[in-house]
Amino acid sequence: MNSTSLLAAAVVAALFANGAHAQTRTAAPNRDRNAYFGDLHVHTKLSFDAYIFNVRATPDDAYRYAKGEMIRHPGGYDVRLTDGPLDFLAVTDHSEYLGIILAMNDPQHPLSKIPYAPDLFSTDRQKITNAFQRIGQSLRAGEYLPELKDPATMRSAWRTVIDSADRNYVPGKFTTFRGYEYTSAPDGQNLHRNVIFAGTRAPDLPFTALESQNPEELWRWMDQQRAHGIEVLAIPHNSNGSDGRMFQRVQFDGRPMDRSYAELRARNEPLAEITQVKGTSETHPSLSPNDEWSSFEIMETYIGSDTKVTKFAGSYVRDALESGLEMQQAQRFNPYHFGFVGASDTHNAAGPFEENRYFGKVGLLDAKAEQRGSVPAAGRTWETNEPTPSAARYQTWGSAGLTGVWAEENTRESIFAALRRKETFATSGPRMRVRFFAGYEFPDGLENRIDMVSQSYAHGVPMGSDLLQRGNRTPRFLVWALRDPHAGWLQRVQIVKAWIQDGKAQERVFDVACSDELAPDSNHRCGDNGATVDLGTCAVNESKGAVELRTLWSDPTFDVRQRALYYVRVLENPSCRWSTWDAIRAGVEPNPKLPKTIQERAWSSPIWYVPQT
Amino acid sequence: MNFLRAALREPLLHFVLIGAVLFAFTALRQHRQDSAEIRITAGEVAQLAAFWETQSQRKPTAEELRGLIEERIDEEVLAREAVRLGLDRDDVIIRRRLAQKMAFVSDDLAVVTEPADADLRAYFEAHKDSYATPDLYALRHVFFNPDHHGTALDSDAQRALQRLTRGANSDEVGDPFMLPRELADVSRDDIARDFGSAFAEAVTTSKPGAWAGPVRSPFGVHLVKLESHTPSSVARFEDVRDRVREAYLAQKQQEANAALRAKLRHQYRIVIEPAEGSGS
Repeated sequence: MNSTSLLAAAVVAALFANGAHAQTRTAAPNRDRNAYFGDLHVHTKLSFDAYIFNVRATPDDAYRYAKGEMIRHPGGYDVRLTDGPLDFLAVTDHSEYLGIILAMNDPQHPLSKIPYAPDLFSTDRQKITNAFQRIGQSLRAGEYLPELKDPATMRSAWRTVIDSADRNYVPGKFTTFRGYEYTSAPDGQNLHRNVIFAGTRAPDLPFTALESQNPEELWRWMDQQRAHGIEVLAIPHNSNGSDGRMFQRVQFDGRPMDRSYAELRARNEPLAEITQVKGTSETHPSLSPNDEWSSFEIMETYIGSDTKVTKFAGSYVRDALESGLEMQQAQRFNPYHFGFVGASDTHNAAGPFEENRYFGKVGLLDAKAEQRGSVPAAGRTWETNEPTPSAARYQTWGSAGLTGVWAEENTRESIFAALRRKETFATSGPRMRVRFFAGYEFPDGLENRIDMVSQSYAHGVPMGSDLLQRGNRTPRFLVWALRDPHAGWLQRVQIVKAWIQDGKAQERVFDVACSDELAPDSNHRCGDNGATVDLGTCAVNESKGAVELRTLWSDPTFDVRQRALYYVRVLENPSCRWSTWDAIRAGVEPNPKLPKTIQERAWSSPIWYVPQT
Repeated sequence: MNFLRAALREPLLHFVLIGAVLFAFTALRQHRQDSAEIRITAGEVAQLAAFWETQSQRKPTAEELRGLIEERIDEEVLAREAVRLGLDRDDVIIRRRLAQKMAFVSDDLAVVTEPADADLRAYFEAHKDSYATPDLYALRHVFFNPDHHGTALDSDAQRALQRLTRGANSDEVGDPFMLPRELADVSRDDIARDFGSAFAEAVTTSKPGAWAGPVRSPFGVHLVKLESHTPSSVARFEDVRDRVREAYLAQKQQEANAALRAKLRHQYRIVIEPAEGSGS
């Protein structure tokens, strides 16, 4: 570990107060709603693990980075969003031991007198690991280490988090939310959630996984907050590391689900994180064998472990949505009626969203290309390289995702309302925009009308909504995707459909709009558009792909009696994966074990078709 | 250290005081070692009890408190013996702790005095850029998708430009576009983020009030009309006084800390040996 001069830290801390405050803006709200991009999953030095990773960035730093300013990476270099600021952000530090590790490194703080405190900040890796494992073990067990239970210190750290959120909020220009991460991981099975508060009211202390690892207790606590006028929602993430528990078919304690459970869950968790650095949780090749695009940035091992994940059902959002449909059909309730968000989960206060400027997410641990397996260790080639276990894990991580919301204006009220009604989409990093509506009364030629969006709101429902059966009518779907002006071109737009047939969920992927004047064939697939990537330079063929794709689509397999859901997936042309960019910069071949290119993508929240039985 | 904060205002005094503290500390340590006395003050006992209470969520019993004091004495005895045997030397953790402790002490001593209004005004004048609103624009645009117009793209855009110039309603011209067709109160950077920098450059330098173009963006071709341009303006000092004060104090604190470190360094002759084999 690097030693950090606290004097320097104090000086830097004093400087943070100098951040320029942007001016409040009063552009009129847009009734057709704007796409705003943000990240609701960001850690700073207040998180127990981030501090150990040598992260010293504060919540104010996280907001400065999101607003487009440069901040320091723990690896000793500067990072900045080159494609412009984000529109919103929530700092979500781990509530468990919030600010405690930081205090253990403060010689004037009583917590620094704990015998193993010096070990945590030692130069001896083994000592750090041994001391840190106490904390990891405490989280897996859900039991406080009594010597680290210091509510006064946690309260003060929580104050720092919420004060920073409030101080950095610029209505109309940049939205912040008070939030934290609930870090439940019974026996290492990841049940983490981010808890996001709507406004300027929040409890004195978060409800943590050391109070209970059972998320149902978290939701009941959230219900209590709501009863006191504190609006709040929770967003589960890294279901891919949950061993099937995140979206299991039973309650936490194994009892069967019932209506009150489903309502409690759906009320508190209207969204799920579909992608972040630690992998994409849309679906897995073993769950969706007929989806050629299912193997996208799959996390192969459990979190913080070298053990390979072997259980996939219950760990991916598409599977969960399908479970929800089955339960709705058979039992008349659905705990998994959620929309999608994307995030970074950065522990550096700075999300690595851009593939060509990836800088990892766990501080000093993956700050350099060799540490994250994109470049062989010094003096080695790919033939002779023996990756460390951590490099073997970090190399499978993807660059950060983003959340898009459709909201009238960039304010807490407007964006939170969009999250609540699931009018959200996720991207694998680029700021591509996607709109999705369903309705029965769309005028012909809707997709070519300049007033397409206001017509769609007037005659249909947006992403995140239910569409009720209307007699024997067949709904139509307006799908519209626009490229990120700073990223690649679009290759195709797909609709993923899941439906119930004979009580069992089925799924199918339809290509609905193709670039380059191609059209979906009888198997609902676009032809090859011939897009290429030069692996020596990462240059792409700029004549291929589309700026935007839009279509008014009808489901050729629609059955008016079948319960179903539809969501949009937008695919860019292939482009270099971050690991290939790292290799090019280092002048070495890309890691032969990794995909050299990826197809960046966006996912809309679903629209549910609800038959009236 | 709050009493120091309140009492001390002069940087010179800080240095004198640090010297005094260090001298007193050394002298006291010497004295303790001479007389071999271990004194656990009432304040320390209270601190031990308070820390115990933080962890256990209740006050220690008399017996528990006695135990804590015994532990504290043992710790002191062992620590003194360790120092006597020189175990504190060449220990990176102990050295770092001491440096951190000193850094905290110096941070508290290098207290910045409450600035006068004149100081704040001078700071504001010197940092006006930080308190400026950027140039703000309002504009309309219509969009033409190259994929839909093919080779007729430019002629279609030209024809549309003529219609707009003759007063056609811009809501009825061009192709659908997902981003707003009207933007208000946006800076050049805002425009560049969503439409690319070439588009931002073209729009912000076009003649206000008239349709212009075609202008290219990463999306395709646009006709643009700059509706208004509000030049950059600096806030009034009175409106941003608190922010100025915050920034001023932060800068002064930084300067004081740096000066203190420089002063302390001055008391040492610093030799950095060249790395072996570096040849210099």
